Amino acid sequence: MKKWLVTTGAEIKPDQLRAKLAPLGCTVDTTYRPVPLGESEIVYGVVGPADLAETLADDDMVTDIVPNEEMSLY
Amino acid sequence: MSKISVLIEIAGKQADSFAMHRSAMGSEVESTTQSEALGKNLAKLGLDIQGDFAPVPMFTKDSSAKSVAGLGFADFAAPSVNADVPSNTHVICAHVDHSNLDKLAKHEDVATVWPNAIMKLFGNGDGDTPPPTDIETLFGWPSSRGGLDCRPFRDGVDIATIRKRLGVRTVWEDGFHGQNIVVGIIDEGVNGDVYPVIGGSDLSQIRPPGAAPITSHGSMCAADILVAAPAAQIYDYPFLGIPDSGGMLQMFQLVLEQRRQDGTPHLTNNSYGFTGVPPQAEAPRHPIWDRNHVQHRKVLEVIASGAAAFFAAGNCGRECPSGNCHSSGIGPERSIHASNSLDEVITVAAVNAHHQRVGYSSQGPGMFAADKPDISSYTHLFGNFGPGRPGGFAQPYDNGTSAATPVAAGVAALLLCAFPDLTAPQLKDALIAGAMSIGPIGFDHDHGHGIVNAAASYNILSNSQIMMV
Repeated sequence: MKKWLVTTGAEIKPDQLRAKLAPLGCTVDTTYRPVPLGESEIVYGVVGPADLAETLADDDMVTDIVPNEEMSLY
Repeated sequence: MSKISVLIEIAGKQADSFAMHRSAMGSEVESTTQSEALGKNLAKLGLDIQGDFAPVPMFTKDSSAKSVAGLGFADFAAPSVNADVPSNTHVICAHVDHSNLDKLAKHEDVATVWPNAIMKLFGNGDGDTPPPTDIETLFGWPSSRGGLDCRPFRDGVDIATIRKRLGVRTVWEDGFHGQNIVVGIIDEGVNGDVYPVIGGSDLSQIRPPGAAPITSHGSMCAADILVAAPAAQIYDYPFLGIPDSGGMLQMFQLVLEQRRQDGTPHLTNNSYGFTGVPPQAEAPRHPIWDRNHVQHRKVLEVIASGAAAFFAAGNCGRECPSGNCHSSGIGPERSIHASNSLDEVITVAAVNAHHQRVGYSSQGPGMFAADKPDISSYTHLFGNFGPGRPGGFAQPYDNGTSAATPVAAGVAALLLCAFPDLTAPQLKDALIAGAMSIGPIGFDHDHGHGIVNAAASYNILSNSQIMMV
């Protein structure tokens, strides 16, 4: 499983996204508070399969999906 | 019989004295010819005339006062070629027996005989102790030539030394110590018992602001902000356990929300990032490759709200990279990346107090903006760690570009205290304008525009304010 940051329209509620992703073997990561991006989008933390980006590439609900990558303290 | 070296002043005028001397200086044959001609009547005194000594013309006192028209020196100050000046006597060099000195001095051709005394260069020292040869000892200030500090690194220095290097006293004397400025530290948490944490993250999943141990990386950052701005205050934004894009996104959103409410924090400090570069073909949406990644977009939103963002360049410099650097992310063009290489942020490289680049400091060009790092700042100081410091000897001293970055952010806090209306771009410009080049003048990919200097940036801003008035 891999960590993702999934962007949807701001009108999408967490339950809607959860329902969309559950059949794909994904969970919405509740340790991350949904983060608004600009005025019209919102970003959710999601844990799911490594090919989730390809799976959701043409999904109407998801506007973007990028990896949630780990960093190091310098 | 021992002979001594003497200078013999011989009477005799010469119209083109400068030309003659220049000719003698250019040829030992000519020099010998002139010397022997001048001393031809002294041969019976057993002189060994030194042919390699070009006869030196001497002049009357009147020559010094006369104008060029009168064949004197008074107009030599003018930037033009002047006429030659007639000499009154000439000095040659010779060895002579002690027994003949009196006869020589009384000879009718001789004006005066002078001892040719041996001199020494002052201060060269005859003792066993060699003179100092490093600029820092000679002048009390590190060399501007630059240099490199690699393992084993030179020892750390105390805060007083770093403050002197930064020139903070100039700003402090005008009453600005960073008061009323809040710096947001996005890190693993700050110890609020020691450092002035007044707010930060309110997420219930993570520890509250100020609850981190004194040995935390965030506490080190707090200490280093206070080097230049001891009256600044801190917001503590700890990552969610592991620093990742999502955690960073969360923290920057909290910063943006706080700024929406009251305009604070005024700056953010970000001493973290990636340590390797994945292949672009395998990870095209990785934050290192994708400038539209949400973590970058959120950083830019915060900067657009007016809060400058300081990012560490990274510790993967070519010469002595940190042990956790992946080979894919070491050296120029590969070691400053992701948010740390955005044009809009202030990317900070590391130097020691001796103005040597610390060899692990990451090097540009950046992977987004080429002209990175922006500035250098000081690391290897006894801020949170070291003798007599709150963090003790958990580490020998504050280190990494992680430490250099909050030192620079502290300087920015000081400037904002004095000039609260500065925008984020103006603040960046002022830091760059005041930076001190080491090595080549101007920008380079090891040091950026140079080492941050509070006094210089403060004076530049002060003068620009006067100009505006």
